[in-house]
Amino acid sequence: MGERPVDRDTVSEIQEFMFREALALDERRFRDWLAMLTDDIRYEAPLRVIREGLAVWDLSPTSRIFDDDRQTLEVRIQRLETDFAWAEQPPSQTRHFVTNVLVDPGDNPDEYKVHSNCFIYRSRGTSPTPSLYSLSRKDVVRRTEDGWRLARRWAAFDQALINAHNLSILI
Amino acid sequence: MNTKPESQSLAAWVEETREGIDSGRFPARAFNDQAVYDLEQERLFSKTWCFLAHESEIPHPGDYVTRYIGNNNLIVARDEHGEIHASLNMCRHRGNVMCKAEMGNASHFRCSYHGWTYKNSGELVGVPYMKEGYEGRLKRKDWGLVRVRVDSYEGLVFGCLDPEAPPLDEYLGGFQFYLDLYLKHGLGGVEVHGPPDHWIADTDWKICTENFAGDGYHTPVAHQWGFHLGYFPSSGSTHSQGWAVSIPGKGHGIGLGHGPNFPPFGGFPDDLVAEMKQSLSPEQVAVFSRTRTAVGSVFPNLSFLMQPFSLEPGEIGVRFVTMRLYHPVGPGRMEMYSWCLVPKNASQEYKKEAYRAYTLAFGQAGTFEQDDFENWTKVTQAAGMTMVRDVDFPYIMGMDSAPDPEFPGPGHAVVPYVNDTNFRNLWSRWADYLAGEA
Amino acid sequence: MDEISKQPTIERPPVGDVSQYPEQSAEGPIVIANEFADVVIRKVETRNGMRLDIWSPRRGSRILLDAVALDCLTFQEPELISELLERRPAP
Repeated sequence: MGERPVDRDTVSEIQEFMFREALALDERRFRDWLAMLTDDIRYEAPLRVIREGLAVWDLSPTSRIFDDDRQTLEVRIQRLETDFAWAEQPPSQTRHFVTNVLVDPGDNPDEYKVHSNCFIYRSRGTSPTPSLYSLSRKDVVRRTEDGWRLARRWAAFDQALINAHNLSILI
Repeated sequence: MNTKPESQSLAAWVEETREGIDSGRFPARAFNDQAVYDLEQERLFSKTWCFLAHESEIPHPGDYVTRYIGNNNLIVARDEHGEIHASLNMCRHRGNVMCKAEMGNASHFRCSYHGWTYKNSGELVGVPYMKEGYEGRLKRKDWGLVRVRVDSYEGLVFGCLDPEAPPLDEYLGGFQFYLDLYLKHGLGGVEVHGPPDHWIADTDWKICTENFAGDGYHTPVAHQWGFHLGYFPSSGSTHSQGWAVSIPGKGHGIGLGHGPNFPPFGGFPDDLVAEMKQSLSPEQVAVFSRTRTAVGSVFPNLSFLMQPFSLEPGEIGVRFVTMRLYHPVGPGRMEMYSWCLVPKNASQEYKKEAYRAYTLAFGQAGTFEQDDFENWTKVTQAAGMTMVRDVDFPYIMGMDSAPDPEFPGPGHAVVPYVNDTNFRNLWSRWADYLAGEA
Repeated sequence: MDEISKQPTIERPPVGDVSQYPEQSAEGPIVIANEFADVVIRKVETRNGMRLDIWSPRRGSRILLDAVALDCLTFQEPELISELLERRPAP
């Protein structure tokens, strides 16, 4: 805020990149998704704790639901590619609704800070009750020779007691 | 409502269940049934010692967390003199919730309804309009927060709603020997890495307790991906090796999985191993040094797991410890609490590495946890079907196995690790409570 | 109740000037808060010395404590605070 705004073309490209990234996840094209990440990706979801309004933090500085890098994300994808990832057998149906995308200049000339809201609908099997996850994301995307890449995903859940038996999906 | 025939038939069902356990049978209905759930609330969770918090969650005077025993919401607080208290999280005046946050620090709690104020130890201190309103008829000492008995072992704080229940030491009954395998990692002991992961699952708490009481049987199948890709240092052909140990008559049980080529204390840094050899007894070292996986449950709903995990397939990797609490919130429904415990004296690098291994494997997005909860939710769903009311599950592994005479620890130790002995002991204790004969 | 409802002007307390706090950064006063109360704390310079200013925005009440008063608090039992809360619990 206060800095020179990012030009419309860049915003539009980044927004499209975010939507394509979400589509890769929803279409379970996990290798395509991995290719959209930088090698130094940080992928984390801090744990929310219910605290008073003036508390120093309500997102734990130490506890993480996801605390991943490229290597561990590869493990997660490799796992989904085996026949033994029971949590996703049969696969969940997911839909990532990415809205309120705001783009600000990043710490490096090639990087941009991207704030977005993400609402994820996940249904499993014939269960009539879907899992609903609402998240605030503060990501970093980087312009590379090969196109846009996600350099950081930071996503905070809007629930402290998450109403889902597992998180076998990506956020 | 005519409840008498129902309660009579429930009592008969409990008796039949007790007899069935002795012959290696346990009814599926136990895992999803309103009447069984109600009986557990009345006879089990109101009598047993239940885990509340780790002392490292409330290290300083005034620190508190809110937790549950059964459906009772409690404040677990360290008072200004350093002593830990548990009180019902309810104002004695008109019943409002005192602490609405999950954690915090306060010397006194003040009700947001009429302003009654209590010390963090639970004593009533402040009453607005004391003179004008109560005219000397209110005695503060009679109206403190409702107290809950607390006791602790090696940093684990437990509470008990039954004033007549035996002390915690007796309740644990020798299982302390095995708890030390998770808690005495170095001379400084362990601490929580942070607040617990916390989520809701349509899973019965007992399925989790049983699994963590030493279900080595499920691992090569439910977590086959880890074996298949080499991230878990065990193999399908040797995974049955190890001990299953139970504390007869107490319900606690632990599985101690071995691996043929697993090095002693594998996955721990050397300086920590040196400290562990001092903090543990020679008998504990003998058990610990051979253990690759230790998975144990304290009856009724607290569990621990120590396991190595490697990001390099085929390597030993790093050991992590998770502690979990299964809080029942309805038939076949629970709130899960999952902590990562790290050795206080370990380096920051080791703590970080152990925590990352934990989040990759356990916690809500953990790759092992995901598959467990998928299976357990399905088990719970099945247990609620009407046809299942008369269906039993077999618990006949190791029915005739004699205890291992060489085993240096307390309790009843049998081989192999793949065994139902711990579970028969668990269900037998559970049924004692439900029969009102614990 | 009248003296309580008077809002003290935290920016410029009548006894002296508010010092920059903390000294090294311009981050402003310290807030100490929990579920039950919150107070704003500042170091206040008087003409000839200094005091600690504790202000309760919820109540609008305020106390200025000198070193002797603060030092005296350091060797009291925690029960003293309970006694004070017994005397005037709320509002």
